[in-house]
Amino acid sequence: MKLYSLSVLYKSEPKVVLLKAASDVSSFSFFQRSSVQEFMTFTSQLIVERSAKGSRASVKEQEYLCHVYVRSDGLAGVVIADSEYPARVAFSLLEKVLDEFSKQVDRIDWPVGSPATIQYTALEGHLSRYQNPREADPMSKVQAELDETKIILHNTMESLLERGEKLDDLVSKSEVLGTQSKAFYKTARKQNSCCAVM
Amino acid sequence: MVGGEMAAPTSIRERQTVALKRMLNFNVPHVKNSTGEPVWKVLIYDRFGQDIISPLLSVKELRDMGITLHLLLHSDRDPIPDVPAVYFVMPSEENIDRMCQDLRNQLYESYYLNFISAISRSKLEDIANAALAASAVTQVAKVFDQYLNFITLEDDMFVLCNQNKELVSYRAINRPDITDTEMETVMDTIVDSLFCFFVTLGAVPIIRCSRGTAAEMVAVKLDKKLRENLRDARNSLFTGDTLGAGQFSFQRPLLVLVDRNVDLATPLHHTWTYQALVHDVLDFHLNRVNLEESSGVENSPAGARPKRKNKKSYDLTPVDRFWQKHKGSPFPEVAESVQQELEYYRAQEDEVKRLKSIMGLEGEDEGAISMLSDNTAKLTSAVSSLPELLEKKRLIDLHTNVATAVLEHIKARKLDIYFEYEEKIMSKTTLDKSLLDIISDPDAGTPEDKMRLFLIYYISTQQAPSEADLEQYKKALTDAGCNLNPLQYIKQWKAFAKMASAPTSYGNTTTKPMGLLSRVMNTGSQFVMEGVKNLVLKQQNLPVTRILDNLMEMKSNPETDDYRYFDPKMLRGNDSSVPRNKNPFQEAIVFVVGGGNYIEYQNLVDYRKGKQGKHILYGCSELFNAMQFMRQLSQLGQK
Repeated sequence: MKLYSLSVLYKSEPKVVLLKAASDVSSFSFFQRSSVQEFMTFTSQLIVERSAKGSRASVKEQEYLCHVYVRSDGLAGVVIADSEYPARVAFSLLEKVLDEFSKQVDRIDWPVGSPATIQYTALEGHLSRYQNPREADPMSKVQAELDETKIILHNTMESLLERGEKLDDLVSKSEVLGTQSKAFYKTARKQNSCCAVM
Repeated sequence: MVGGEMAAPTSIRERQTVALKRMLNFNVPHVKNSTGEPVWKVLIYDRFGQDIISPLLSVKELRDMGITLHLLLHSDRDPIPDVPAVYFVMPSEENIDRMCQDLRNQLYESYYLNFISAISRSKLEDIANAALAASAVTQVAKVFDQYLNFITLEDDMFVLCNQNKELVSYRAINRPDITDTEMETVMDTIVDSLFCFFVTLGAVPIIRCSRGTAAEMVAVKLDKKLRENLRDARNSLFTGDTLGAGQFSFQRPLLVLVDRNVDLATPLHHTWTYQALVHDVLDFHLNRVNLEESSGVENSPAGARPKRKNKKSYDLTPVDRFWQKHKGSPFPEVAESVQQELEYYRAQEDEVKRLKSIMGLEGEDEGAISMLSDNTAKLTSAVSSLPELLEKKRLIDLHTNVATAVLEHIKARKLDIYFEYEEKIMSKTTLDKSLLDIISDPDAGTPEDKMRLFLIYYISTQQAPSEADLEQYKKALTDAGCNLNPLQYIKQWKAFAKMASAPTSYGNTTTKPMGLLSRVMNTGSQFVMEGVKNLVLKQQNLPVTRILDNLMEMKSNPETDDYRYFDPKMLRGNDSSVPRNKNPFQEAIVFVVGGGNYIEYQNLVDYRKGKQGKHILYGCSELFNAMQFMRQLSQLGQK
């Protein structure tokens, strides 16, 4: 079981601002790493955009599960994990991180922040500790109030999109993805592949 | 062999051979048919040098150049004080140390030091110091950088290296736990060989590569290295004398750098052409095939294994006319051709026997006497063609043995079924049999065959199989004895390589009517192809060929439109992907970073046949067959 990324964002309609992110791309090959990182940022942002305030959701995409928690005050967190990683622990991590973040970083900075300007350094540590859920979060620490029935489950990224919206378009318009990542993603038009995408 | 006088363009094989012969001739151009005995000499090489020389020069040819003795550098060598020694080694630490030791021990009369790739200044100084200390300076006659650090296997095919191929293997490039410095070393090793290749070819290419891949990193570094060398006016290797006369002098060749990840199905594919089959099912390596002669085949549930008997090795060389003609032919054609050659040979043999017996009746038969003068002429020609006949017999025996060994594998593992099925998968035609049936069939194929088939299916399919289906397949595969690690890696790979997940359509493979096959069977051929389908290949372009076609013919295609463009001759580095040159290229080199195989090579050869006047070369960082490739995938898929 593995965690790939952990990010903190702010949902201020209609935009979503990335405040801080940590990732572990050590299981990807050399030439995939930067693209993977960019895609995870892109995906995290997109998910927060399409999730309502005060909601929790898990989005399944091929081998990966993206867990998102958007607080009612707009602060949001996304964990991208593999399908084995226990969702309960992921949400517990999000809760903890957002709580800590809100105490360390002034609310004023949220709508206008960026990873460069935000002073919050604990993310990498959390990501690496939580690679082993048993150690980081034994059952006793899980908050009893967490009601799992309230977590929305999406089977694909596509189900987050609005009618008529295409993931291809969002990818090409994205400012987060470099040209390389976009080229990487581009489907061969000749063959009209309809593969699901990360 | 003198390059400039040849009417036909000099191939890379000829060029490298010429360079080697010049080196063996004390670094003076070798002129064929020169009178007088060659100077006797000793050749000292390391394993890298051995791998480069062996596909190009036979022991006899070495002897013709005056090499009486050839020895490995790191072996016990006795002094031979009155003989010059030619060294051909890599400039590594251990090799330099040993050479210095040789100097100190005064092993030979004089030393001609040739380095496969360029030696560094500091190592050169080490040798100079050793020579000084041994008072052997005058004995070091010549020191050369040969720039021959690549292995040429065919007129139009080369690989980087063999000894350290694990350093630059597919696995080495794609494993996740690689550090930046390790990757630099891998890339530098590849670029060094490619640089040597272009120095030997005598041309500076235009380089195109895909983005975000190992191929791109190679392209950037190669461009830089070529550029630096061109700018160095004193030491440039691409000046007038080294530039090839003939094919490359007016037009620049195109170098297409492709990453293996663009097509993972072809390295796993079951094949149907002779050379590719030999590489797939037999032990075929640097143009030498090693057979274990079997006395028969035992059928067992897991797929037959031939009984092991004596070992035999054959070299498949450019002078083997049958091989040159048929290495790309579909196997049934090969079987039939061997049969035909055998019949023709027998007819000629009978003719010689007949003439001999007639001669034996000389003086006793009137009719015989009058035929005598005719027959003398006939016999003379028969006798003079005896060496030719003997050679023909040798080749017929060779190919009979090789083709028989291949056929045994085909029959035991039912490789024709795999080939046909995979072609259908890759061309998206409807499948008449279920994949599960083939996997669960105990009589068809080894576990590796089944794994290959399933991986090709998984790679090529548009819709990933559902969880339930996948579990079913996995169970069937495990029951058949397969190791599932490669699948683990392929799943990961597919999640990223969407471009590669929509492969080219291959067209249909049709089963030809019985005609060809029945003729082979009816003539009492030993190639009993009963039960083996006579499949005909329809020519379609594999992904690598398709990419080459787009770039060589300047076709617009989303797949290759944003390939990067490098021209080392241009003054300022240009990063645009807009090619300056608008005309189609006449020569191209396709190089696959991450490994290649004979199927891909053959596809390019077939493609070239349809293009008059074009020259295409194929190279790869390593050559692997499906088993070797799967082993790497398995290591990559291990958690």
